[in-house]
Amino acid sequence: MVEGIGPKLNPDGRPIINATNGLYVDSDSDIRYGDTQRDFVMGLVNTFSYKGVALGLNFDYRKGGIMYSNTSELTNFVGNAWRTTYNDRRPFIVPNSVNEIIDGSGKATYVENTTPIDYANYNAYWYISSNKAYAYGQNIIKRDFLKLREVTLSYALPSKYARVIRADQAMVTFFGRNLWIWTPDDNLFIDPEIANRGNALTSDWLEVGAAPGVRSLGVALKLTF
Amino acid sequence: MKKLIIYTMLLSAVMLSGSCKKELDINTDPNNPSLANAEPNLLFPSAVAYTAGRIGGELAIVGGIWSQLWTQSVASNQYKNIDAYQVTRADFNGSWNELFSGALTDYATLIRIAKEREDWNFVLMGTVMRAYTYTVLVDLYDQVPFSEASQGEANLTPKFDPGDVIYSALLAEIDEALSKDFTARTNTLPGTSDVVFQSSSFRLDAWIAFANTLKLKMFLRMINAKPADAATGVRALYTENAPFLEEDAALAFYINQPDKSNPLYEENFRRLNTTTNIRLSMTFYSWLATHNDPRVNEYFTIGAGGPLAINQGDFNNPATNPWGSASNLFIDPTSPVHFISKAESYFLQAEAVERYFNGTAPNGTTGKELYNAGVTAAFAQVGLTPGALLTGDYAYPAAGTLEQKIEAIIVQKWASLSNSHSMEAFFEKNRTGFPRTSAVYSNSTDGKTWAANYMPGYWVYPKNAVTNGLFIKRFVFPDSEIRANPNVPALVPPTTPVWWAIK
Repeated sequence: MVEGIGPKLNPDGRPIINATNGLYVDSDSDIRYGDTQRDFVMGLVNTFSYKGVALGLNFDYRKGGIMYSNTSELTNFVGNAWRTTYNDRRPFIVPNSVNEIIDGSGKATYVENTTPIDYANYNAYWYISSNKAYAYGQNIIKRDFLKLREVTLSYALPSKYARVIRADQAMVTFFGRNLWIWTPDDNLFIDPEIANRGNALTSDWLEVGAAPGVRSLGVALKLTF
Repeated sequence: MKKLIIYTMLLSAVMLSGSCKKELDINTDPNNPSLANAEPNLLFPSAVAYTAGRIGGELAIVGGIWSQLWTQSVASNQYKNIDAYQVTRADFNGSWNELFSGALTDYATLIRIAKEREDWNFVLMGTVMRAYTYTVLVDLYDQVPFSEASQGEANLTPKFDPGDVIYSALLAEIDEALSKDFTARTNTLPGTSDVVFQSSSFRLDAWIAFANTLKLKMFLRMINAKPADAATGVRALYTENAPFLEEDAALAFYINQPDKSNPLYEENFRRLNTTTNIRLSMTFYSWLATHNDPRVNEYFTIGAGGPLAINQGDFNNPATNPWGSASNLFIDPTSPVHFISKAESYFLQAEAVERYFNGTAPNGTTGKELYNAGVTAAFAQVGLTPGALLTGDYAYPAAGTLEQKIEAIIVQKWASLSNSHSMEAFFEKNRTGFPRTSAVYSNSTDGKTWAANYMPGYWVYPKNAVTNGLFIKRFVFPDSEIRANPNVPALVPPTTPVWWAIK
């Protein structure tokens, strides 16, 4: 379960904004963002062969679950993440927001928020130190992915080539592993499977600056004597 | 050849079989003794290091910024949320956790063991440091676990006690520790384990003075909430001629190596990629400049252009001149973390003598003498002497009202805390109202001069603070406790004064 500080909402569900700087107000109690567990896992393994040529494919699709990405937090912090170009980095008012006014008796009323986030505070909008209520949610990404794990293309060489080196059979295979990954739009940061927290449960929900995965391509020659 | 092999095998079999069992028992780590092997002389330095690491580190940074001695730089953003009073329950969890499960647990364990052994030296040392650590927590959070705390697994959800109850209990504990027989043969000498007063022979006199000065500080804290108790307590101290600290009670063993230097230096300088986050605040600078106080050159790194300050909380200006060149905080990596400094001890005594003895203590010392001693000690902390200031700008208002005298004492105390346990300056403002609060902002445009209607040294509401004009007064209960302990009281806004503060 992933729970944390989120935006404080008024009874209508509109976010409450601090009238001084235009940033979100933290919720009084933790809100539930979701959980890390997957809804389902499926795969597709297929081989096509024609005469001596065989093409194998291995797809892997996993859906469901969320995790916290520190890479997202860092790229939001330095301004590399695409979402930090929101509104061309010009002052804006958080859409559909209100200010909360508490009168002497403790009763709260809500007025429409007219405080923009100005140039000086624009970067603060993405920081977890100054805008926790919003920034935490921005760093939580979905763990869905579709991967093309392996492609193999093998060709059984005609026997006359094999007999040259006194082998019964020769087969050459080109293979590629970890070729492609597709992730949902909100995760342009990391491969959810690359965990740098070891094999413990922590790697299910947290990634801290993991290095990107690598493709491997290779050739194999199989000789049978 | 065969015989040689057989003999070698026999010999190694004989040699190996003897020692296997003991050395290879991997379940006991000789470097990490279990709790059953805990010794007070090992627990004490560790506990004091915890206390100093937090009070002299993160809490000093927050205290220095909230006391308007320092402010966040315009060119970086490490402490923006502190300078903007944006304190939430996700903040300062580390200090809470380390002070409770590190320092206070160690103190509780060592006091318990020392009591069993009737080792009253360690009981006194542990009780005083534990009380000191607890008072800082109460001053920050108003209510903390006390009576049910430090029980380990026996009670993982202790209830929170009100701050005034904790103060009374701590005072009683200190009294009890002071009443023991320090000549008993069951007492052990701490030796090098006394990291506070570091001496080859046990400084019992210093610990008694520390205990009394701490009691004096705690009584003076109560002047708003429990004036009668405060008066009784202070008078009792003077009736029994209690000695007070005439030296620093501090942890002074830091060296200039990573992980071993002053906590504030480690946190703000060594461990950050930018070492210029904390700059001189216009609030402090205006006061120092008006009186030509030379300490500005020691507290801060001053360039060729002289000191330059940023208006408190005004960190959103572009980092061009003048704000980009504001004077950076200076902390020596080997500087000590003070618990109660010598200057602070004199200022506390001066205040007590003025409030309860009409300016002259029973032993003849006057408030003015104590004030002068405090100012001199404060200057000595940075290797200077007050010189003509003591008879000039900083002259004690001996003929003034009580309020004027208290103001002088507290303002001088504020100015002495820029390289030390700066949180104390924040506490004193909340307790006494000094330095005063300004109705107008400092509004400096060049970093060297300020608005004509601004009184130097008066606290301003920080430019980018988010609490709607209300000054911050405390921390809020931390997430780590809220999520684990259902007995945490309801959250109150951090602008709510604590029990001993001016309402």
